Amino acid sequence: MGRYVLTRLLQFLPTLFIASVVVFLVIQASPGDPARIKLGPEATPEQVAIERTRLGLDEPLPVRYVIWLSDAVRLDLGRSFQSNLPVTDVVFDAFGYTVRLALAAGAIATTLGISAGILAALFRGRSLDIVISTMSAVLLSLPSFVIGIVLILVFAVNLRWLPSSGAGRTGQALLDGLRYLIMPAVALGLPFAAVLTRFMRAAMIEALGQDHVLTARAKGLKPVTVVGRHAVRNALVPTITIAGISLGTLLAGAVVIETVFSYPGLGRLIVGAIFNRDYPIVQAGLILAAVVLLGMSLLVDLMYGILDPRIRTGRSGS
Amino acid sequence: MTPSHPAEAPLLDVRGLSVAFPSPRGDLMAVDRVSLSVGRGETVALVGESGSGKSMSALAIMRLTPPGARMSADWLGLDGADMSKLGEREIRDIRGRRIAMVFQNPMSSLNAVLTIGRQITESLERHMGLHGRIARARAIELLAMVDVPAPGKLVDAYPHQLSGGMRQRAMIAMALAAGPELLIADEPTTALDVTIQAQIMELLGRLQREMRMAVLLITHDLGVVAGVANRVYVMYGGRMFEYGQVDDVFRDPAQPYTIGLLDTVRQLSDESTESLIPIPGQPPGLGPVLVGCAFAPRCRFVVDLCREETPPLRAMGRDRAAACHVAEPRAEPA
Repeated sequence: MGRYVLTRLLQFLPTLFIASVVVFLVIQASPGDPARIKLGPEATPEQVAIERTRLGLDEPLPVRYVIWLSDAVRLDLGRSFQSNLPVTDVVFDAFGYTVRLALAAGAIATTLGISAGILAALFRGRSLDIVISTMSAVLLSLPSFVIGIVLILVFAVNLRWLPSSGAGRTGQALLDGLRYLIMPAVALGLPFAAVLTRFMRAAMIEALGQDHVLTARAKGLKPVTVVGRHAVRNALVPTITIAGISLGTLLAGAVVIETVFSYPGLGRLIVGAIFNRDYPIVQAGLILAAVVLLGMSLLVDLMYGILDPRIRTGRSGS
Repeated sequence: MTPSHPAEAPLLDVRGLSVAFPSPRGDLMAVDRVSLSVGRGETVALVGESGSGKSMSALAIMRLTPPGARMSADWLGLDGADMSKLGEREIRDIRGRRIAMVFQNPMSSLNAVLTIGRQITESLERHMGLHGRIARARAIELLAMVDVPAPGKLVDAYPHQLSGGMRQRAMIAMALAAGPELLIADEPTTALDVTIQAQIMELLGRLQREMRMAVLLITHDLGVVAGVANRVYVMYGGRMFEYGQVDDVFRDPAQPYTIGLLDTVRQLSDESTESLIPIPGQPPGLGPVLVGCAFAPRCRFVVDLCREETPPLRAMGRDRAAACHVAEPRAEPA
């Protein structure tokens, strides 16, 4: 197991390298001059030229990439063009918020999605199943920003229960912070809950129809045991894969949701940085996102191994 | 494999068991008023081809018919008590504890994500109140009883790490965990290699003697029946066609279907015959209640009455009966 993880981690390096080159090229290819944007329309061409030199934008592209890379491997990601703050501080601050948001959304999506899927499968064809399946179809077709706006209208504007934007002050009580987290996390999590509901329902129906479930019932096991031990666990294997793949989309969704709720996360930071042509921030933010995605896929594979012994032992059943 | 004492009430006594699937065309009868009995310690074979209703009958005895099926019985006796009236909770105490079941495909019938040991201990927990190390030790004992190599290691293995024969042994160990009075073995060797089949049948025979357990063996393989069973029931199209002592039925079958079935087996062992004489036609599919004999379209002895009236089971001699208008009572063997 340890060796497997190590191999996988080493495989990350080439992937990250390619990602960094692509990100670098895409940003540089986009029009707009960071120096001009920073100094504003009033600045003279001379001032802009001086600023360009100061930011190191005069060097040829490959040279700039090599300089960036050699700094990056020493964890020096430079300073923001805009604020002149160290990029690592800015990015990790924002990342912390996004992690909180993604974890909360992921928790909502998995608990809600998996339990709703199990219930729908157990009550297949009956009214509870129809209600759950309809709700998941509706949620699936609603983009998370729409859900976000509806939540803001209901809970912030009308009922005034929850704050509509921001993440509160730093150093506030945990509960206060949670109040800022609830709506963005629900808006982000619900569509994923809907996806997982559908997968879990299908996987459970398949699992419940398998021969070993009949064996379990023939042993006289209680229905709770039959479902919990002999169906849910088997159904989780495919569902976890989907959940893991969805997490990448969750990160993408976070960009939109963070903008809707003015939530100071990584997504909102990157979007702002792109508008400002703040190359170091964009670069670092996107690389971090890539690392997270790769990490998630590794995590999913490990979970898979825990749930399904056939994968863990590396032998296929016949 | 001692036959039951006729005086003693049978362990399993099924009367008028039906399994129907409601459909717009009327009920489709998978099992149509079938009766059978198994004495204590006796081995009884239930024979029929695919779709004859033999597996569905077994599931119905365990009250495990699939959703959508409607099961009914005049009497579903286990040791004199009617199981058909029991609540779900009470029947669960019987399943695995007093009647255990071994299924056809040992790969799909075991849970791929649990160890063999866990799948045995859950029965021990449920029915014997054994937990933790004691349950584990008992699981290893059970695995040793079914002759697997290195039971202490196998207890922690997953099904996919075992061969088909080993899986079926594990499956049997699992079924025996609570010391059942009746073991229903539904085609226990069909999915296995021929060489392994004999070993599994031998194992079942030995365990049955040691544990003084009754066995209801469901099979389409008449060769297996001859070797192990005391009595045999023959099913066709969801109905009981013939039953009797294995020796009597095999020596002198009364029902034309049984005759045809035995002919095909005899040809296989008789090298002088050049070609197989098959039973012409197809077995009936699942359909509404039939008028007349289900075998009539394929029967070489068919008369008009066969298509008009369903033949009832009639006595054909001591301890034997056949459902046929044409068959005559059999003479006692000399």
